Amino acid sequence: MELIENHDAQFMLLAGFIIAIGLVITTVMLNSVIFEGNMAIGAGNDPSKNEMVNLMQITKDETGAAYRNTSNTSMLRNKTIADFIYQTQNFRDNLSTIYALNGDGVNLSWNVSNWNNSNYAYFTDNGMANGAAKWIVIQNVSSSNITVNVSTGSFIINVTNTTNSSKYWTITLSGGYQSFNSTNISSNVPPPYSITFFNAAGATGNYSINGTASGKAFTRARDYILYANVTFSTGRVKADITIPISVPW
Amino acid sequence: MGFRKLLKNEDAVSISIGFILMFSVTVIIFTATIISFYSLSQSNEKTTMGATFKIIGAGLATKITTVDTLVNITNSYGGTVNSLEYEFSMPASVADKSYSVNLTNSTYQIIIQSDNGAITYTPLNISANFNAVHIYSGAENYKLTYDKPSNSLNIVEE
Repeated sequence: MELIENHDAQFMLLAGFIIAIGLVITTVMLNSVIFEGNMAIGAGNDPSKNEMVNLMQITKDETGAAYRNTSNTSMLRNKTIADFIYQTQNFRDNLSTIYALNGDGVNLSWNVSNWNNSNYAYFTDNGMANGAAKWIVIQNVSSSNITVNVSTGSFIINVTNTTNSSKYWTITLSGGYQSFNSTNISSNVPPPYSITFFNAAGATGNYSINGTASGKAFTRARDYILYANVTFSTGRVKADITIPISVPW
Repeated sequence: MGFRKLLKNEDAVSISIGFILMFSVTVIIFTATIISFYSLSQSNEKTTMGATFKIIGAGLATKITTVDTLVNITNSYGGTVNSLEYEFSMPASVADKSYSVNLTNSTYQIIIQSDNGAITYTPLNISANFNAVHIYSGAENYKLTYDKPSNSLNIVEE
């Protein structure tokens, strides 16, 4: 009661402080509200580039695997291609389901006309006419077997000793099958050696090189260039991409 | 003596004058508070617009770079991009003000500007050709497309 009856203005001071602090708090809060209101902008989700890269890579890998599985058999070509289409369609259906679970749409289709019509690939690095005409197929080879079938034009394979570039063997290839085994090559160039294609843009055909390089078994081979068409769609992105795929490797 | 008398005098002013005085003081204080808050909000508006423009510019640059990267990744696979579309949206207004977005291909910058003087410059780094475009915030929804024959990126309103 004494406090209430005391006229020294404690309550007035207290009220003054409370009002002052209240004003400061209100002003800061209102400022924050305006700032947040102005900043109300949605960030949104950006599509992952990795998804596209993965999609292209697994399509490439699966196409190569399906070709190798089917072309190893001695079936007729149309039967082999039908088997390839069956395998790739199975892959396509599974892939579409997996992407659909993430809310993305994926559709794949393949163009096998090069295979169907025996249009062999160029001997360039990427198998197409615009690829590099001079390229190293493999280096540091200790033994290898080379089989080449030139369909059109002519090109050169250069086998060069890795340590002494003056020791090399130039093979000019034009038309038909030619095969060189490890003994043939070693008698001309002592291993280790590198195998380089020259003038590769002027010739088409298929090749297969296998053996040992840097202590590991390797296979380099190409028959055809097949085309895979990939359509990818998410809520924001729609893409239609065609990628060439060298088969069997 | 007169001053002492004044201090001890508890008559003060009449109730009417007291009310007028209190009312006037309250009005003046509130007006001062509101005016200071308003001027504060004005400067705040410009600051937030600048910050928001930076976010919009960076987001737009990221989207353009994403499309450019996808095109280049496909090229690295030897493939071709037949079509590529990326839909995105931007707010119709920032702090209740419309704005314009100028995408230049001379200096490769995204310049976002509003009529109250807020402006930001965001650098843009792409390898494909980019068709310069000046867009305005009203449309809200836009589409970033890749044109295969000209190897160029375009932004169109939806």
